Amino acid sequence: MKVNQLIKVIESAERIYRGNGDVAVADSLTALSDLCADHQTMTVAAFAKLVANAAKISPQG
Amino acid sequence: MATIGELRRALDDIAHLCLAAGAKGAAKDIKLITEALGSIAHSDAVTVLSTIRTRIAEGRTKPRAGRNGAKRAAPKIAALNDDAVAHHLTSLRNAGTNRQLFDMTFQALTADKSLTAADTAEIARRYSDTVTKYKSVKAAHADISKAFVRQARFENKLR
Repeated sequence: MKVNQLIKVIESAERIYRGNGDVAVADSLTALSDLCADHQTMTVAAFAKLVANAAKISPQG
Repeated sequence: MATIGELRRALDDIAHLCLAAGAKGAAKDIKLITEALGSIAHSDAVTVLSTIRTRIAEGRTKPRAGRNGAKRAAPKIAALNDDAVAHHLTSLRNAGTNRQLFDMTFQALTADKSLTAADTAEIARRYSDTVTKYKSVKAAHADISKAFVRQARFENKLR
């Protein structure tokens, strides 16, 4: 699956969470789809590796 | 403010929903993203994601290192020995279709140690009026000889 397809799934979920009043999770899903937006042509597997490597060196995670 | 833990739970729910809808591939990919987000659950998701985004962007702009970690050197562009190239080219052209003169000039060219492979290739390209990328000096020399023969034959035809 390509990242642009994943974005569609995340955006649909984000709308559901926002509709249910769970704004915090909806916002985090928006941030995730923003992160995905820079890598739309990649496969999700390759993108996940990229994120995992960045998360390892990230002081936050 | 949602934490990474909450975001992971939300992604797990989405993966379950995909699985229930028969989209196994999508469910598997979402799980990959969930796992990639790290194990620290209490950090703010938006902050972590924006940090990851910055890190990836920084990684993109950094010059790629070679296999041994060394930076790739810029490709070397050898400077041509312009004077020698011009000298030999003029001699070859002055020889015209005179075989003896050409042979002498050609010998001088092949004996010239100051010429590099790039210089010889440049002479061959200009003399034969081609854009060939020669694989060897020998190939360049052969092309010069062929160009002379071609020129001589053409002049003979016109007579």
